[in-house]
Amino acid sequence: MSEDRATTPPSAGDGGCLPGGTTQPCPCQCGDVRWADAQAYCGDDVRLSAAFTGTCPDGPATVEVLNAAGAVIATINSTLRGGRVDATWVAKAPNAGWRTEQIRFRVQAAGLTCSSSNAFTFRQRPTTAWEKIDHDYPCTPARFAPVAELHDARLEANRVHYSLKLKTHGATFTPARQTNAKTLAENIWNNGFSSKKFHRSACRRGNTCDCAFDCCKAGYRLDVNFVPSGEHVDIQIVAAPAPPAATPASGTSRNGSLWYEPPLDEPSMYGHEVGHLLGQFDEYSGGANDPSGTQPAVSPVPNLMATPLDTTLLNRHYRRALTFLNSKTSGDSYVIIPP
Amino acid sequence: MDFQFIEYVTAERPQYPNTLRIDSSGSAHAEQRFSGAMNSLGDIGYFESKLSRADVGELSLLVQDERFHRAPDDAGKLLPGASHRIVRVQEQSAAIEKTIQWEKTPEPVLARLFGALDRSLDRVRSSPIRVLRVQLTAVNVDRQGSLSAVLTLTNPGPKPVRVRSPLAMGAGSGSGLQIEAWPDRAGVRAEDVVRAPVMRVENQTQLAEPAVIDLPPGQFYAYRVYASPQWRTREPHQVRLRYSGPTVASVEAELVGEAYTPVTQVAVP
Repeated sequence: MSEDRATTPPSAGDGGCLPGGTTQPCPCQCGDVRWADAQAYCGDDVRLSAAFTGTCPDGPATVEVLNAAGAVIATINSTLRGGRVDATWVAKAPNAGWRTEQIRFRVQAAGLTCSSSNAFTFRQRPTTAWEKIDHDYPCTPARFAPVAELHDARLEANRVHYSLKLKTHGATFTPARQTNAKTLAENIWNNGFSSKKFHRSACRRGNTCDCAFDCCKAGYRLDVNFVPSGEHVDIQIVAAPAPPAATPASGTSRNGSLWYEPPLDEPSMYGHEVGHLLGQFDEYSGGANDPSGTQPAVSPVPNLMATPLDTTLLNRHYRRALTFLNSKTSGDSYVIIPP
Repeated sequence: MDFQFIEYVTAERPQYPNTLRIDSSGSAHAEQRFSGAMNSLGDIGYFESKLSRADVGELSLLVQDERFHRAPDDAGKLLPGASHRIVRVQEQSAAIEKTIQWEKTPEPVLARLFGALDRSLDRVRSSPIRVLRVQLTAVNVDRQGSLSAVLTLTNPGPKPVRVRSPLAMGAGSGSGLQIEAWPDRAGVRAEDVVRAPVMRVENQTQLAEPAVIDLPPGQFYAYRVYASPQWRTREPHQVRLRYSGPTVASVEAELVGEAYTPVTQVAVP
């Protein structure tokens, strides 16, 4: 391996050489080696350059990107031409500690190894405090009350976090049954996103990005809690009729929500009703449909908002969380992957 | 003013709304997507009949009643997802629609109209055209609590019907076939109902069959179904099967709907 050289300007009196001169060529030395972009988002193109001094022959160059421990995390093949190496690295988190990681690089060319004089750090998404999301979305047909998106939300370092607080009145809804409802709803919405990510639109790795960490990606988390006060919605619990009568379907909106206990189609019901409070429309004919068509009135794909007992969630069901995320990232937009 | 037609939607199961349409001549068409649970015959599909002059006269009087026109309803307030009824009356120059959430007691004039329409629907349902009937027989529960039964799909109408094969309805938690059972005694409550998905379905031939099957008039298909309900008590139970077909027809145009079989009794040893 070549000896690392300090990044120092050439000395005019160094053996009386003249750069490009006819008598004696100056020795090739490391010059200014640095990240041109010392901070960027994960997935951005990050420019780096190495200037060489003296008389350096053109030829191949290798750039090695190093993590804080000095291990090589990426290798870029480049060229030394006219005493300069320019390259671009698509920033990628090397480990879970990417938020504080100092990334350096070294260039090997013309028999020299030159190290960067500065370090690259990852730009981070902002985080926000809890805020209340309170929005009505009119339905088609208009006989339905608007779908009410009612919950708290905040952008955490690694995810969009929702918190929904429910209060109940009416028939008995025991703590055990509340826990059951909470678990079913949370599992559907959280597991439904477990194979998805919010991903930076500008990430140069695109929708198939293989970054294993949360730098260009963000997750999703929903908490549902039954509370004695401070609720987003107060739900009337009604005892379901005795068999053989069928249990009617429950309904949820800003006012007058009514849940049967035990409910019809329990495995999917709590997730579906919570879905309405996350701003989701029904996706079956005759339901409270989306006038914009973003959620189809009749979904060809069975899912939580369309089909009894089906707990499938599609990307469109997380679009409001995506909108929330994008409202906090100063124009650095995200999409849901896989698309 | 006489009505041109009345449309009555009962969305007890919002994904499977039932629609009855009656014109001023008494011609009545019903698309039954949910069989109902009380006294269910297990029928879903299309029905047609002609109502008597007296029936049409009763409906005409009710929809002409000013109190019907003025009756408050839940339009604009209906909870997304909730069961409901809608009555739509088309007159010569105007249309009136009333929407009532299922659990609410409607105004007396609306209650009378709903009653008359329910009776009309019962009459129309006695004239099947393209209908699927589901029935559960030979129900047995063994000492381990495993349930087996025979599910029969019959077409009691005069025209062929295309239906989703039970073999294509999945098994386990995602199955469109579900067993419901409850102790056969007085005072039983909704929370006493035990539900279990059908875990296995076999047809008589044990050969593969298409996901959508044609059921000619008067014909039937029979399937053996198996489930493992978590029985809470060892005593005689009432049992039925819930057949949840598609909520929307595929390109194969199979029947949309959900049907409960009539209830049958089984010993749980």
